[in-house]
Amino acid sequence: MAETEERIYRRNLPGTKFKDWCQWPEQSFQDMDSTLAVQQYIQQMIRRDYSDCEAILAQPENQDEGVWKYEHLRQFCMELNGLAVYLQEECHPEKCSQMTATEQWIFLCAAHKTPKECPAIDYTRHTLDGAACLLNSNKYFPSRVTISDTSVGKLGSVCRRVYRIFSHAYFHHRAIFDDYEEKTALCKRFTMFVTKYQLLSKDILIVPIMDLNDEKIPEEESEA
Amino acid sequence: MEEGAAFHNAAEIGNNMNMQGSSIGRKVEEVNQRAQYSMPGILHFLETEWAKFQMERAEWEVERAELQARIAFLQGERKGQENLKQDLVRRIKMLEYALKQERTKMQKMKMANSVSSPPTTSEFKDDEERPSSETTQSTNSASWRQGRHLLRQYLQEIGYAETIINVRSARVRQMLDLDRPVNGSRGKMLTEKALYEAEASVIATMDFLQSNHDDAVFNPDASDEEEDISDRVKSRKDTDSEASVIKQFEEMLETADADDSTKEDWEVDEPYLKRLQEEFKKDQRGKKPSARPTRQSLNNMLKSLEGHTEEEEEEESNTNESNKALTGADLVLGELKDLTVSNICEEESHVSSVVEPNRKTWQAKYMLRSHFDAIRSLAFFSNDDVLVTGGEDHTLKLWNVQRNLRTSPGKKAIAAMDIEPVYTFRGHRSPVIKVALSENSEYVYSSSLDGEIRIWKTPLISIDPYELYDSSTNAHVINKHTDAVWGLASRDDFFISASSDSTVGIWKDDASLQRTINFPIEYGIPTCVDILKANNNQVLVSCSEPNPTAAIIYDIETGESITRLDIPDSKVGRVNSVAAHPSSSLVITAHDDRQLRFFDTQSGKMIHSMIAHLDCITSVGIDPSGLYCVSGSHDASLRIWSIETRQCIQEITAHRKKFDEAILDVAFHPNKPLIASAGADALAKVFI
Repeated sequence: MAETEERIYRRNLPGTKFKDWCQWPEQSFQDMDSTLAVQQYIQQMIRRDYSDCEAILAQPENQDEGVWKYEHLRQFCMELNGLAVYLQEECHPEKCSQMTATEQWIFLCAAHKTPKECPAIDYTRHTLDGAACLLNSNKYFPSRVTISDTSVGKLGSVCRRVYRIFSHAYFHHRAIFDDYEEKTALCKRFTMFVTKYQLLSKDILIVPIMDLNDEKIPEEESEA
Repeated sequence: MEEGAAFHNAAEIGNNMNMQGSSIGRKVEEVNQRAQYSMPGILHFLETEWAKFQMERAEWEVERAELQARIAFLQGERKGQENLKQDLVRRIKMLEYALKQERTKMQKMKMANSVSSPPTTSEFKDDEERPSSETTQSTNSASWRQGRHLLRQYLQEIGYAETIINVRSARVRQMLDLDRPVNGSRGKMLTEKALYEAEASVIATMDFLQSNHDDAVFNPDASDEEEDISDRVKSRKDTDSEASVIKQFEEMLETADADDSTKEDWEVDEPYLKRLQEEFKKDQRGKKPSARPTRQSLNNMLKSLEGHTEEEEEEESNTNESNKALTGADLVLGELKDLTVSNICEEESHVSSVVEPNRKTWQAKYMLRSHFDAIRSLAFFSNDDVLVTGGEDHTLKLWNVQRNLRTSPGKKAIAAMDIEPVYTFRGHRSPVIKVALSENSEYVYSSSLDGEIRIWKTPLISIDPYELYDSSTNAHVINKHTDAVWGLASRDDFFISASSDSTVGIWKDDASLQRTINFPIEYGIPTCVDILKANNNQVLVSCSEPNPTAAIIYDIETGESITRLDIPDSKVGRVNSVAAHPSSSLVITAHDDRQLRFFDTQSGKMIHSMIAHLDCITSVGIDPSGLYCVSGSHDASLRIWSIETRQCIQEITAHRKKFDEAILDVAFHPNKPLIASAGADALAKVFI
């Protein structure tokens, strides 16, 4: 088994067709010897079944929790880029001149020296760009194998900011949100993730889906 | 007394013997006892004994190594002494010769004097003549003293030059030694040490010479000795002696030539020595105001040399640039050689200080960290130090390396500087697998796994990363391909796409389709495209089933295939990347089977093939001068090759693996000495 396993090259070589992308046999987490094993594993789990959030978020044994959270957040930000692409087409600064979810808050964009009232789409872009910089920062995250506790502390604020993208999409661009959620179950996974690791408090999680299945279904039906 | 001592000794010996005997007896007893007890006991005893022996052996080994080192050191020292001796003998001969000359001169002067006094040849013969002859004698002695003084000065000069030459020759030899791989590092160190000693003694004699003369012309510092030879020459004012120095150096070159028995070694050393020589001349010319043209001519000379080096190419591009009318931004880099600006000056000093390793070595200078997933492709702008990367996180990112060069001069000590992107292109809905730039860098083309091609208007490279969103950046979208587009290449206002749906499309910048070429199914899938620089109406498309054809050349105008690049071997791996040479008809293909293959597009014949990496090669790029190529592989290393000799010049381990992928793309800057690599670890690196 081990020998045959070795002969499999998990590669997408030039010329690979869309349907053949990443179509290689799964590798067990123990066999992944790369420094990027956690990312590999998470992506492999998503590829297996993106809607099975519990399985995706199930932390392997002996896995450092900080790295596990970090890699998940990287994955979330990456997939949020996809949502941003859809939002770009619909969320114009004229329509959504401010980053809002409910009427309660106007979110200021923290990417600038002095926080600014960016239009929603810019808030989205800037937040994702800022998250990309922070999560790739050599200062806070020099390694993808071990992460210091102070750096793990940074993850919470990233979560809080990127969550607003979900909430904005949900309250202002519902069609896009539902469409994307159906394809990726991203918000569901994110909500479960931040709840599981207590990165965000429950009262911030205003998108009323998938938090608890009982609560969610009637609400979605009523709004649809 | 003696007896007593003898007795004492005997007693002692006896004692010792007793002790030994008893100890042996005890040992035997012990062994016996243990033998009675158990096998492990014996084994343990043997083990400890064996360990003891091993220890001793190791000690001997260390001792031997030390002695060998000592021998090597002494040999080095002897060599140095011999050099010194030779030098001294030469100097003595010189002195003797000069003395003889002076004597004959004196003789002649005397003769002349005696001739001026016709009656006699001897001064003491005629009394009347005596006073006059005495005055001539005194004037003679005066002139003799003066001459002697002059001579002394002259000798000092000579002696000085001699020491310099000697030290330099030793230096050169040392450098040659450094280039030769046969010497161990330890031996190198020793010879170096010996050399320093020789130098020191030479300086000592020089000081001695100077102390003999009141008017010391030159006072060398010990630290001076450590400096570059060229500096030494520069510090001297006498141009004649400089010329002689160069002449000497040329002679030395010849002798070095004779010395070098192995030809290969010489081939490596020649350009280096020549360059040293060029440096001398350059230094000389540097004193004159017209430095620019001479540098140009120098470059030409360097160009004509066999072994071209990176530095030349750097200089070449720099001079080219500075010859151009420069914009303010370009000036910073264009004047690279003269101005000392932030990081560039570091590179400059690096180049000059690394004369010894013979070639410029590439070093990772910038880490481009911002992608969340593997970076599939990258492309350099043609005129700026700007590049664009595209990755599996569905985004493209724009990086301005130049801005970082200018704005952070204080950070140059960091090994590889992290930089952030100036712009993120969002639009693709699947992994971006290829990026390309239009010739004037006005447009960015990108293709993704779902077959979408996007044309972006390049934002200003000075853009604020947190600028407001401008939807006009997203210029056009092409959705005509039905499967992943793996190949993109641009030419003028056209660009070519190669898709896994087995078509090759030729498009205009406004996204209008000019022509579709159906890729013959027997060659597999088109994997990569490149435009032939020699004839830019022709496009090269590589095949995923390269048996027997590695790539096909198409005419863009007609869509007809012109040449097939066939491989004589029967079984070869797929072609992952192709690169066309900027000036000749050479094409290099990178294969799955770890090979790089060289083709001639005129004949369609394979010229050369070689195993270049330990694993699948994913990408290949050729530098703008056409002398080097760079290859990237899933073995996580980047290798730089000399195209002429097909030798690996440098290997850099640059990226980490994700699954079985490591380096996904490599590229040379089309005009500047920059290399970039993109990896599956979501990092891109720029090498200087």
